Amino acid sequence: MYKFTLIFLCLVGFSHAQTDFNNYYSLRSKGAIPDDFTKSSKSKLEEDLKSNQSNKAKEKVFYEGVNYAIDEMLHSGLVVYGDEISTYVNDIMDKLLQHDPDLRRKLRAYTIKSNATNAFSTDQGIIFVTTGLMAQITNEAQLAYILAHEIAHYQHKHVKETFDWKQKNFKYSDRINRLSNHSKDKEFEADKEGLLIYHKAGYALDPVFETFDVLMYSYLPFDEVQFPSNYFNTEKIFVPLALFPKKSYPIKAEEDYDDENSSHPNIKKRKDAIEKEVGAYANWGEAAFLLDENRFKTVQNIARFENVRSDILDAEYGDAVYSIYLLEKEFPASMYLKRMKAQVWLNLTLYKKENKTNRTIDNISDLEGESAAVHFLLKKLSRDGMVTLALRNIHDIYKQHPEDEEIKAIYTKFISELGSIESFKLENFSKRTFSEAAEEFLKTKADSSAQVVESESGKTGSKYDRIKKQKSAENPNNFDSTKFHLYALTDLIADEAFLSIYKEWRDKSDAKKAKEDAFASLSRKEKEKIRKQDNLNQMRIDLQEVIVVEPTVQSFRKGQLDNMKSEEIETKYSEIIEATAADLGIKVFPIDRRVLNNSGTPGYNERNLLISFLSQIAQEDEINIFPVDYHLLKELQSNYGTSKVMFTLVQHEKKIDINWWYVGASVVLYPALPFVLSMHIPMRIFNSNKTEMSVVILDLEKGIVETGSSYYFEEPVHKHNLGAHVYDIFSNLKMKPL
Amino acid sequence: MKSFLLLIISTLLFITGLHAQNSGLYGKKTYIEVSGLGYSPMFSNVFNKQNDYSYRSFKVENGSLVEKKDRFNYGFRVAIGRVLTRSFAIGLEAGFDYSNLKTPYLFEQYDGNWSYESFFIRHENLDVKSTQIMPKLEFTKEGGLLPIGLNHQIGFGFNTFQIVEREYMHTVIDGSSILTPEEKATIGSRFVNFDQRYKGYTIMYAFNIRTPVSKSFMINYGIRYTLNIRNPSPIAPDKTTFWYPSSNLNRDLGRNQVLHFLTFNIGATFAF
Repeated sequence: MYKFTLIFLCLVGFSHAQTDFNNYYSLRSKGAIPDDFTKSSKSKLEEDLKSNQSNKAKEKVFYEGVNYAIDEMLHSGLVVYGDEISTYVNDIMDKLLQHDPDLRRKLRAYTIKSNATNAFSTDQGIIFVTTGLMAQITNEAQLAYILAHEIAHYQHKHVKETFDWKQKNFKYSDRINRLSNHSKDKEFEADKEGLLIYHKAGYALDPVFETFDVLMYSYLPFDEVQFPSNYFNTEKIFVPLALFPKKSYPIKAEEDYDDENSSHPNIKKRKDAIEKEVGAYANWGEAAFLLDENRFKTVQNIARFENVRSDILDAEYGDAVYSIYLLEKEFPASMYLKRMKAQVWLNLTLYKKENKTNRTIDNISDLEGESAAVHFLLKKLSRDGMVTLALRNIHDIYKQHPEDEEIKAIYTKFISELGSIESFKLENFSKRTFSEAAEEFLKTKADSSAQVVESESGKTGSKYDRIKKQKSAENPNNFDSTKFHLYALTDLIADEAFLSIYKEWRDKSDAKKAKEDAFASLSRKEKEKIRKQDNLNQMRIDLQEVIVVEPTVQSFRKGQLDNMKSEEIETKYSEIIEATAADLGIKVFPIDRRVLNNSGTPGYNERNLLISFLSQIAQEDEINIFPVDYHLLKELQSNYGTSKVMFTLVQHEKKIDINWWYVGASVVLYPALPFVLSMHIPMRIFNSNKTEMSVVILDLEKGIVETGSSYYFEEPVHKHNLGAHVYDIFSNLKMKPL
Repeated sequence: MKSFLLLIISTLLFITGLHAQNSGLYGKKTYIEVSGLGYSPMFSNVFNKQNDYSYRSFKVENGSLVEKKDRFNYGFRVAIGRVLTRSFAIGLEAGFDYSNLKTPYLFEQYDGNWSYESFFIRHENLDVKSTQIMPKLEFTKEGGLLPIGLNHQIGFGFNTFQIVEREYMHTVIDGSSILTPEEKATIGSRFVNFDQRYKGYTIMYAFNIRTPVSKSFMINYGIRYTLNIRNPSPIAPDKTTFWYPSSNLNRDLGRNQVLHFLTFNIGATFAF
C-alpha cells in the first residue's frame, strides 16, 4: 500500500512538472491561495498603518494608495500564482537570498500575463514578472539579475522614498524633470545593490550585460528569425512574393537614447555604470543556470505560448502569426498553436470585414525586424485575399482535426461570417490551382495560336456569356498573380460538405438582409413600433441562472476616488445582488474576490478567465471576437450549468455643483436673489448625488454581449436605492421577450 | 481592476440606454404619501407692504400684543400615486395649510346711514386654514426609477381659504388714544366674516427625493413652489357688516399666499 501511494505521488509530481505543449492551455494559478489575494484592501491598510505605527495623514495617503493600487493589479485578472513561472521565479529568489532568509521570507513573486517586458516590486514585498519578460530572456541568470534589481528596490524602500520625495518637491516648477532624475538615481542604486545580491548567489558576469540587451530589444518579438515567404504555401494555395516586402526593415533601437524625461536611465548609461561596479567584485561565478536548464526552457516556452494568447487578446494579430511561426518549428503538433492560428485568421477576417484591420496590424512606417514581413503581407492583402487565406488556413486545420471542439467552433463561426460577406462569391473562384493557371497563362502567351483559338471560341454563346467568360478567372489571359486567392479554393468549390454549410449561412445572411430591407420599407410609425418593442426586449432575456462576477464600485468625494468607501459599497452591493436575485427566483453563482477564502484557487482562476473574456469581447463594438480561452470557458459553463455572466459597475459622486456666477449675478441684480436662493441652491443640493449603474450580461456560449445597459440617476448609494435598481434590472432580465 | 473594468464596460455600453419596463420599488408601483410641510414666510416678511399704519404683524406674548414677524407656518398632505413608466407617474394630493394673516391697521367703515367712521386697530394675526386638492404629475430624468429617487412634480388644483374662528386679542386706537384696552374676544362679528370661504386655484412645482429605507417604505423630502391664485369672481359685498370686507381679505390673502411660495416638505411614503 505504501509503495502504491509513493508511486501515485511520484506520478502526480511528475505530471505537475511536465508541460504538455501539444495540449497546452493558458497558465492558471495553482495551490493554496495566498493572503495577498484574499485579504481586503482595507485590512491590509490597517495592518500597514499598525505595523508602521503611522498616524500621519500623509503616511495614510501613501499606504492607502499602494494597497489599493496593488490590489487592483492583483485582481486585474492578469496575475497568476503557484504556476510554473511564479514557482520558478520564487526558486531563483531562494538562490539569490540564501544568505538572507529574513529578507527572503518577506518576498513573494507572482506572474502577470502580459506581453510587456517588465518586472517590478512593491512596498509590500511582492515582485511581479510578466510573461513578456520571461519570453524574452535567454537564460536563468538574466532573470536572476532582474530579480536582484527588484529586491534591491524593495530592500531600500524606494517606493516609499519616492513618495516622500514627491511630497517634499511638489512645489518646484521643474518637478517632472527632478522626479525623472530622482527615479534614475534609484534605478542606478538598484542596479548596483542588485549586483551585490546577484554576485553573492554565484551567477556569471556576462548575463548582467545581456540583461540590458534584453530590455533594449524587448519591444521586438521574442526571436528574430527570417519569415519565409513560402510559409502560407501549400498544394492548394500560393501566396506570391509580390505581397512580401522587397526590402528589410532594420531594427532602430539605440543604447544611448534620450532619457531626459524617462524614469529609467538609458541602456548605455546603465551598462557604463554597472561596468564600473563589477570591478569591485572578485570570484565571479560561471553559471548562467543554478537551477535545471530544462526547467528554464519549459518556463520560457510557457511564456512564449502565453505570448501568442496575449497577442490575440490585445488584437495584435500580425505579432501572433509571427510568434506562432516561431513556436511551430519546435512544436509542430501543438493543438494549442493550431487553435490559436485558426483564431487569428478568424479574427483578422472579422476586422477586415468591418474595415478595421488598421487597428490590429502595424503601419508600414513602424515596421522593424523580421516580423515586418508578416505585417507587410497582412497590410497588403485585399479583403478577398485575406478572407481566402483565412478560409484556407482554418479549413485545412479543421480537416486535420475535425474532432477538436474548439477548431470546429472556429470553423463554424468563420463560415457563418463568410456567408455574410457579400463581395465573397464562390463563383468567382477558379477550378485551377495557382500553378495550373500560371502555367496555362505562360503557355497562352508563348503560343500565339492559342489566342486565335481563344478568339474563335469566343464567338460562341451570347454577348453576355462572352463578357463573363472574358472576365472569368478561368480565362488564361486574365491571370493576375496578385489575385492569388482566386486559385486557392479549387477543392472547396467542389466540396459538397463545405458548400452545404456555406449555403446554409449564406441563406441565413440573405434572410437577415431581406428582413432589414423589409424593415426599411415600413412606414415611420411601423418602424417606431418595432423599435419600441426592440427597446423593451433589450433587457428581456428570460434569465433564470447567472454567474455574477463581483460588482465594481467607484465612489468619488471631492473629485477623488474614495477607495475605502468604494470597497464598503462593493460589499453591500454584492449582498444586495444575491438577495434580490433570490427574491426574484434567479439563481446566482457569485464569483467574487471577497469570497476567495472559500472558493480558493479554482474561484480565482474562474474570475480571471471571465475578466479576460470581458476584455477581449470589449475590443471592438461591432466585432464578436472568438474567445481566446474557448475551452476553459466551455468548462466553466458546464460546471455552472449556465452561459450567462453578469458584470456590474456603479460610479457615484456627491458633489454640490452651485453655479457661483448665478449667485454673484443675483446679488448685483438683487430682485433675482430670492429666486437663486430658493431655487438654484436647493436644487443643486438636492441633486448632488450622481450615480451611474452599468450592467453587462455576456453569453459564453455565443461569445457575445447578450445585453447591457448603463443608466444614470440622482440618488445616493444606500442599500435600498441600490436594491430597488438591482430588482428592476433583474426583473427585466427575467422577463421573456415580447 | 476598477479603471480597467470601467473602461471596458463603458466601451461596451457606449451606445446603449435603459428602455426597460419599470418595476417600481421592489415591484411596487402604487404609493401613499404623508408629508408635513413647513415654510418660513421670509419673502412675506421682506417684501410685504408695511408701514406705520398697515399690515403690521402682531402676536400675543405674555398676555399682550407684541409686534413680531411671522416666522413659521405648516401644513399636511396626503397623496396617492401610481407609476406608469420609469420616469412618469400620476397622483392626487390633498391637504391643509395653516398660516396667518396681518391686515391693514386703519379701518374705514360706513354705517347703514352712510355715516363714515375710521379707526386704527391692532390685532393678533388672523389664523388662516386652507384646504387643497390637486392632481399632479411626476417626472424624472431618463434612467429614473419612480417612485424612488429625485423627481419633479407639477400639479394644478383647487384650494379654499378660511379665517379660523377663535378669539383674537385686539386693541382699538383712535389717533393716539387707546379706545379699548387689549382684550381677547371674538371680533368676528365686527371685524371679518368667519363664514366666508375664499376659493381659488393652486399651481405647484416641486422637486422631491424619495429615499427607500425598506422594501416598502421611503422617506420623502423636498422643496415645493406654490402659486395660489384667488378666484377673480366677485365676493358678495359685506362692507357694511364687517370692518375688513371679504373682498379686501380675498385680495390680501392672495398676496400673502404668493409670498409664501417656497415650502419644505418631509414625510413618509408607503409603496404597495
